[in-house]
Amino acid sequence: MREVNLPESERYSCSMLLMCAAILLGLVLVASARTQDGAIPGEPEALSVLYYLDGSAKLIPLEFQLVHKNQKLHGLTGGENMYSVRGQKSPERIKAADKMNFVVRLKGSQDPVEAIQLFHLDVVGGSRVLPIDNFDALGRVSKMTIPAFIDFNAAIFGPSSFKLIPIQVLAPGEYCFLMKTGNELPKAVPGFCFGIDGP
Amino acid sequence: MRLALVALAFALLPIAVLPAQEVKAVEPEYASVFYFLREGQLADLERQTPKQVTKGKNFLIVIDGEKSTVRLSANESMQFVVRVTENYDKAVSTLQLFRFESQNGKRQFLLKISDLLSNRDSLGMRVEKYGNSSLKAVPSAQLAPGEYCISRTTIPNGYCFGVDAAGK
Repeated sequence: MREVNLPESERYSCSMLLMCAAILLGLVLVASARTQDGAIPGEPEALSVLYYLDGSAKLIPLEFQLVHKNQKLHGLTGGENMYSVRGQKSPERIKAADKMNFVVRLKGSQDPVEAIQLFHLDVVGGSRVLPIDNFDALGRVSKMTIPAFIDFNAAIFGPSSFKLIPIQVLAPGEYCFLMKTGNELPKAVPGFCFGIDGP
Repeated sequence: MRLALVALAFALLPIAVLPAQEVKAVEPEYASVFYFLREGQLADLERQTPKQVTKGKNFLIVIDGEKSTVRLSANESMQFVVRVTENYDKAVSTLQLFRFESQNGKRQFLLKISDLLSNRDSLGMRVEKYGNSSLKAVPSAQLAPGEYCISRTTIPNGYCFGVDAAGK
């Protein structure tokens, strides 16, 4: 190996160039490490309110309704219990092809899997309904009709908020997230609703 | 030239720091989803939402299919990991592990209503912190061949697996 003796000025220029390249490389590596951690857009301000996270990372509030438990009588033969949501369709529409990500900020250390359930609703007459059970003429429950909830994953979105991602593809129709209140079947429950439109 | 060496050392610093950060425990991305921990990696369990049938004063927990699609060997190290949102003490008391009986194309477990809140029907587990926000649960006794689901009293899902005799 032959050693090349550069003049002092050229040696200084080389050193400066190397140092600049090194700083640049360092900054790029640190920046890339931060990006891998995931840039987090703003968390929702309101607690226990559900938002749709659209493609541009904008939080769009879902339709809020206090969902009431109603009874529909079938003459003398009994009737059915159901949760009803006013209106045939939610004004909040999501395209079936769009990503289904929802965001909620919860109080304290609440687990969204425990605190929230997602249901598909049937459209009956002018409203959206979630059937609960049928009862006979004596008021005894004859058939449980409440549909299975739709399972979702809950990923950390911010220090106190979560991103909810349904694990199955949501077919076109009407849906509501219902906040659990502690009671098994409360008379009224906060609901956050949306509709999925087909292509 | 000394300046250049200092600059080079500075450049290599982030490279040295990044692998150190990656050594930390791999935690689940999702809250209340259980994984099997195999050689430091998280492996999926069979995610199920069991049906609950009232049977007298008890609940019959029913899962379709006699056997889980996820099979573990009895001689494997049984370690399960779950991300939790609550503090350690609160979360630990919610963990539960049940052994199911297989019959007629289903897995079943009879849960006494009286034991529902106390979680007394659960098999014993040793639980410790795992990473920043997760728990690692290890069954207190070796699991005999059979069908199992691990869950929390606060969630509707079970994460199921079967244990096969070693060498099968």
